[in-house]
Amino acid sequence: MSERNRPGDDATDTALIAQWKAGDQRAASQLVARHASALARFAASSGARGDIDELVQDTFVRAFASLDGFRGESSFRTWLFIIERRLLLDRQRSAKRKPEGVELTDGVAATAFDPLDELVASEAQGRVRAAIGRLTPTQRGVFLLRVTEGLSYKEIATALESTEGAARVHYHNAMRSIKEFLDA
Amino acid sequence: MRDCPNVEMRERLPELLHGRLPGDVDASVRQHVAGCPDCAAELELLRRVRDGWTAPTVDIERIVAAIPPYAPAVQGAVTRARKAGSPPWLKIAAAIVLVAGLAGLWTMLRRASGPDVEPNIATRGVESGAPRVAPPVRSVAQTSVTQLSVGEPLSDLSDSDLRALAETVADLDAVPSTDVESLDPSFIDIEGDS
Repeated sequence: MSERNRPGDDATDTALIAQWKAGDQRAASQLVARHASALARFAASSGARGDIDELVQDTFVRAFASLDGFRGESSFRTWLFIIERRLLLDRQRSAKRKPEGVELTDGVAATAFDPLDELVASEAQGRVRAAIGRLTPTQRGVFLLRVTEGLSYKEIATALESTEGAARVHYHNAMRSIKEFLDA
Repeated sequence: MRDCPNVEMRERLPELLHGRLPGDVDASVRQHVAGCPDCAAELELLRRVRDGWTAPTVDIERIVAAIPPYAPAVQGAVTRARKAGSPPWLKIAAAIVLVAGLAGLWTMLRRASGPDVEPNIATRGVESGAPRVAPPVRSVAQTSVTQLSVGEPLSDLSDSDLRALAETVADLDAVPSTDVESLDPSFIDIEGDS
C-alpha cells in the first residue's frame, strides 16, 4: 500500500509515468498503490462520505486520461489532490448539498466526521479525534494534509488552489483549536 | 499545551515528522525539540494524528482495472499544432493585408485633413447667400487669380504668364468691386450667360 511522501518520490513518479506511457501497465499499478491511500485520506478529510472508493477511482481514471497535461510543476500527488478535490466539489454541487470541501472561505465547524471513526480507539486517540472533528472543514483539510501527508504550505495551497498564507493561517488556527480542546 | 515562542522551529515540526528536512536543518530542529518540552509535546501530538489517521479502504485492483492503456492523445497532437502556430505563408499574407490597410487608411486621412481648395477666390465673398456675380471685364484676371488660388507657385509660371499677370495686376482698378452692396443690380447676371 502507499505510504507518505518521501524525498525522491517525485523522481519515482516521473519514472513510473514514463514506463506507463511506454506500455508498462504495471507502472500504473504501482502509481495507484503509491497514492491511493493518500487520496482516500484526503477525500475523507474533505467531507466525502460513502463514495470514497469510487471518488478515488474516478480521480485516477481522469488523471491517467490526461497525463499528457501533467508537466511536473507540482508533485504527482499534489496534482492528484487537485483533480480529486475538483471532482468532489462537482459531486457536491450536483448533489445540491452544502459543500463540505476544503474551500478556504468557510467558517462553519464540523459536527460529524465519519472517517475519523477509523482512528485507533484509545482514549488519547479518541480525544484527538474529537478535537479534529471540531475543526472547520477547511482547517481539517489543511491540518491533515500538513500532518498526515507532510505537505508544505506551498503544496497545500496548490492542492486547494489557494494561497500559502491562507494555508498557514488555517493550520495554526487548527493547531490552536486542538490544543485548547485537549487542555480543557 | 503551550506554543513554543520559536515559531521557526514549530513551523518545521511537520516536515521533521515526515523526514523532509535537509540534514543540517533536521539536526538543528531535533536539537531544539530535545530541549523544548512545548515542541516535544506538539511533535508527539502530530505523530499521534499521523499514525492514528488510517485511510478508508480502497480497492486498488479495481482502480487499476479501470485505467485504460496509454494512448498518445489526439489532444496532444492538437496542442502541438497550436504551439506550432500558423504556416509561414499565412503570416506573410496577413502582414501584406495589414500594411495595405494601413497605407489606405493613411491616404484617406491625409486627403481628409488636406487644405480645402477654393476653385475661385472671386466667388468667396458672395457665398453667404448673395447671388453670384460674374463681372464682365475680368476674364484675364480671373484666370490668373484662379491659378494662384489653387496654390501653384509663381516659379512655375512662364515669362509670358508672369507678364500677363503683371499687366492684369496693373489693370486691377478696372475690375469692379466684389462688394455686392456696391454693385448696380442692373449689372448682375444671375444666370451667368452674359
